[in-house]
Amino acid sequence: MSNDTNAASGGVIAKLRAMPNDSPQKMLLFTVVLCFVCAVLVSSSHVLLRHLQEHNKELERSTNILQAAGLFKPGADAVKLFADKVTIKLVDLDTGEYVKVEDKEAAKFNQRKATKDTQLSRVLTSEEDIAGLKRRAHHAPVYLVEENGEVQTIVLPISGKGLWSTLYGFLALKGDGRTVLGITFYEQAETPGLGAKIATRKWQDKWVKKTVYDAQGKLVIEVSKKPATPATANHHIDAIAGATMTSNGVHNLVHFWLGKQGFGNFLTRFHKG
Amino acid sequence: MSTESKSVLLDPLIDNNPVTYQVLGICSALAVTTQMDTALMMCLGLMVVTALSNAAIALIRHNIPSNVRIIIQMTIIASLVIIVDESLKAFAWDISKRLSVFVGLIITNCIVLGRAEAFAMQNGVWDSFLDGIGNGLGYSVVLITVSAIRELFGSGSILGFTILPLVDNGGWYVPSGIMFMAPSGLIIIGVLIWVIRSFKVKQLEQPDYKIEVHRFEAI
Repeated sequence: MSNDTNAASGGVIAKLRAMPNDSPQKMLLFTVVLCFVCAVLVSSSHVLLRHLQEHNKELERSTNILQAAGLFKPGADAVKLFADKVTIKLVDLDTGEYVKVEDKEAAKFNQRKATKDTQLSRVLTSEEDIAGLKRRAHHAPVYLVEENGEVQTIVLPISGKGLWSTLYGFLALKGDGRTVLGITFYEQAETPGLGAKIATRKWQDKWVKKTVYDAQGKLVIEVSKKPATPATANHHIDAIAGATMTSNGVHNLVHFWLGKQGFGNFLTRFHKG
Repeated sequence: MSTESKSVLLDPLIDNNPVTYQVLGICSALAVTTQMDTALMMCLGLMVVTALSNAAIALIRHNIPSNVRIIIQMTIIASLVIIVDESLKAFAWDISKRLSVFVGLIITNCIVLGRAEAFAMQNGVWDSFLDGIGNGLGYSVVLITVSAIRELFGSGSILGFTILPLVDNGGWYVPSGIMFMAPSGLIIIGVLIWVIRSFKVKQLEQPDYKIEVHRFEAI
């Protein structure tokens, strides 16, 4: 132990270098030091870049909601526009009532996290679970665009299984709660060139002005391979050729989120008249 | 630059190409080559990781206990990949979303570990760094070629600019659906290997065995 002082003054690295390569002590020390260095690098890159990453996510969500609502202008500051125009509210999906919380709290609500929390969500039975979600949170955010106290646009977060992936998107309805203003999908991993067409403007534009509920409040919107007839034209969207599973997935998830387990109870309040 | 460094850098482009000669890194070459922009980003990511991991491993190569060297190489590679992934999420959000898991899968790309074990363990820091860049470039040559073909015939465009106007948009070109599927990548890489080996006869491998003609009539 006579060289203890020596080693301490040279630091761990000098001590390491002096050891024979294959001694067990060196093996252990070397791996520990290396892991420490790597851990510091990885965690500092995460901490340093987190701010930028979160800004990207926020920007993307705002852009998508604005796009679905038809308010997005290219080149505009989406985050600012979003803050100016859109109010976030929380809805209790079972009763269809607004949850009484501060606006700030509503904005912070993380639907995906809540869906995994056993306290904040429940298991869906197989008949209810047409969108393949397994669980559903009790609450969901809605994004409202109001003018003169009247709700002009209701943007609903939607999600469900496609062919390969869970699709996440937004569906925007007019203030009457029946007419589609737009739909977007911001997260999907469907087959490029086939199912992934759900993320293109061209397919999403087919949804505009379609009716989701008929006058009796029946859910009529459909994504189908069958050609539209004059009777169904205003609630029919052509499925994507070669992407039956993805199209069915979109049909099912829209039906889930507009149905009784989704925003169905909430939307009836807009159906007056 | 010395001739040796030059050959370290340039050999992997064609003569010792990691994909077409060593047949490594095929998985990601199939997965990210439907569009050119994702392929380019993947190439850049792989090049950065290979160069830096090679340099880092070469720097500590005299001290790596040989029993655990693979684990140590993997730790360094994995950390670098996470840093690249985090940076992409911060600075190139759209592309990082489309590359999804494949950035993370650079960790399992045989090229990175292959170069670490085969080159960086025996060579100096600068040469190892160049070797990483060179192999990254070799991988890029293949990915760019494959993705250019797949994007041109699958989406009628190159880097998003329309070359062949699609029927969908009122043009005349009916896109070829197979170009979106992984098999087309495999076929294109196969053809590429064939073409390269018919020019570079040195790359041809000797057959492992020869099938003899069995003559029944002789019996």
